[in-house]
Amino acid sequence: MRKATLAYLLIAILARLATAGTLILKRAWIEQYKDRATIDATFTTDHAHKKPNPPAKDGDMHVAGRAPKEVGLPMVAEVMNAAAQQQQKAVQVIHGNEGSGSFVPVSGAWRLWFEHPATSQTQFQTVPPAANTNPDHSFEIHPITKFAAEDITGSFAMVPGFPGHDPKTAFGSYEKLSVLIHASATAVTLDSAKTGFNYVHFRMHLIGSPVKLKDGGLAAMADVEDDASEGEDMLAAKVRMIFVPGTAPWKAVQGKGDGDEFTVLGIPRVNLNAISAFITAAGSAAVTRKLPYEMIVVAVK
Amino acid sequence: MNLPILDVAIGICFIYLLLGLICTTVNEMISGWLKTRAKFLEQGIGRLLGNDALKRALYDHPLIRTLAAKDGARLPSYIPAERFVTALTDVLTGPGKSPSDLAALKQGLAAAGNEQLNAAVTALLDRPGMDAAAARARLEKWFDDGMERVTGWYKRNAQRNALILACVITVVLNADTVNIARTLWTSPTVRAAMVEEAKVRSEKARPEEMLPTVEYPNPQDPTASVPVNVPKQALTDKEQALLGQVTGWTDDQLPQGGSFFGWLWRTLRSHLLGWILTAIAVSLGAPFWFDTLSRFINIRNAGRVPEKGSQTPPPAPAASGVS
Repeated sequence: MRKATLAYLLIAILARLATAGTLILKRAWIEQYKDRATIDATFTTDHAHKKPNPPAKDGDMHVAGRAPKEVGLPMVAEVMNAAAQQQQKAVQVIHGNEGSGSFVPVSGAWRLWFEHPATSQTQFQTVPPAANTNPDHSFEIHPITKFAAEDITGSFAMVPGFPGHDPKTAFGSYEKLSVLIHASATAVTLDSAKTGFNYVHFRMHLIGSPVKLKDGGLAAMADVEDDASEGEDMLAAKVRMIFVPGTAPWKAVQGKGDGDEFTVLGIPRVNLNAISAFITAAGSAAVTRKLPYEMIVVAVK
Repeated sequence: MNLPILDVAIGICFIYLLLGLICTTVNEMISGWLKTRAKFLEQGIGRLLGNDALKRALYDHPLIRTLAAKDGARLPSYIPAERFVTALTDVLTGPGKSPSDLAALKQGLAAAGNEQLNAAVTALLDRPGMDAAAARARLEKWFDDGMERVTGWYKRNAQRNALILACVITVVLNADTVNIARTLWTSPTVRAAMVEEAKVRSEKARPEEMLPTVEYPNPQDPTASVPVNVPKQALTDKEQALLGQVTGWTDDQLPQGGSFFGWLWRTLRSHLLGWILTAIAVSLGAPFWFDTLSRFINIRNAGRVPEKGSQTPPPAPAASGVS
């Protein structure tokens, strides 16, 4: 019996590893952003990486800060390919803003993902200044397209020397995620286990033409295949792909449609369009659903 | 790695997963029947307006009535702030007056004889330079703030319901963790069967695959998602049979004609601890136990040559090294 108790304790310890995060969002905010690729925020930088991550790691530069008007959550904004020469001016501007308390306009792809979740975060409650460059957060502007006056849409490109995650592992993980959704009249609570697998290379097989979103971005439905495989093994079907206005992937899919294929680098985020559909259909019920995700296409080969 | 203690842990996780699946299915059915959300919303609006007659008038307003899920259902489960404010100001200003007419709104408030509402709205709107747009924005914010409380009630209610349901299912099925662990430890046959079925469940029938998801029926319109309710078969026949081997009531555990309270005392003494452990575990939910089970199966499989075709992806990493 003592050994059975030990087995139970073993379960309890391992179970703690799957820590969950709770995020309470404004319902109106979900409706506002569900069909937008990007967000325009008024942002102040609390802490920024002194130097960008090396390209072999991912080449990003983390900028922790706050956007109380438009986001109202602990957040991090990230510059892609931050070590590249074209982004140096923006990096300087970020460091100039760091710790100043002044708010500057920042735009980029909004991204909800439970990669660094806190136990519980409620949108539009007072957000304290970030203590470091990677506070507990489920919201990101990632990648940034514009910081103050510096346009860095050109940073949406493959990161030299960065392998990204294996698509079989990454999409296998995305497809297993679930979320508990409680909707009220004005708020939506999302409870999710920790997620991961940020950047992933894959082959995108379009099954429809891109459609314009409210902010000028594009969305298209696509099947996902392994870019390293010659075959057509599908890793995920009918995934919504998001293209940020003015970026190279956005330009590449203009005028394309059913059957066209691209090898791309993508970042997953929660699909708010699907969350909106769930809460509309669920009505009074608290429901557990497959976590709906979509891919921000950040680079095309 | 073939350790009996690991197999017992797998068996317990598997039983929790099965009970969690039953719990999830029953919980969703109950929430749908009871229309809990709509009732909480009505209660919150009643508290905001402080007057049943006004609340009824508001719910009868066409802007609100049309939000109900179907004809004849009076209570919607969601009211957008702008609709609430338009309907409320329309009810208060009365027929023939614009809902944005502030003077008519104040007259209507006074005529309604509702002191609580009058005081609240006056405090919100009685400011210099207040125009119709600003008044509207302040009323919408007032509604939103009121609904935040409703969210809190609803969430606490849902959490409590999940725990109550887990307790009920635990007792009805006599799912005593201590007994389950003892059976698994002392019976290698049951343990082996449980581990085999747990492997099947972890590889082929993930709870998420049974979860409703969304589809975009028209690939040319990636903004029109439709929830897809995949039919749910909570447990397979084999799983039900295995669950029956470690849970349930035997004849000698039921009252035999002696004192009921004596029976109750004996039952609680021998099962209470196990029931509490089970109920707490089950309230964590099926996806949680599926993830935990997958980890144990991965540990058990460590060192073995992977079988062809079994490529279960690992769980998400604690830190992926990026972002």
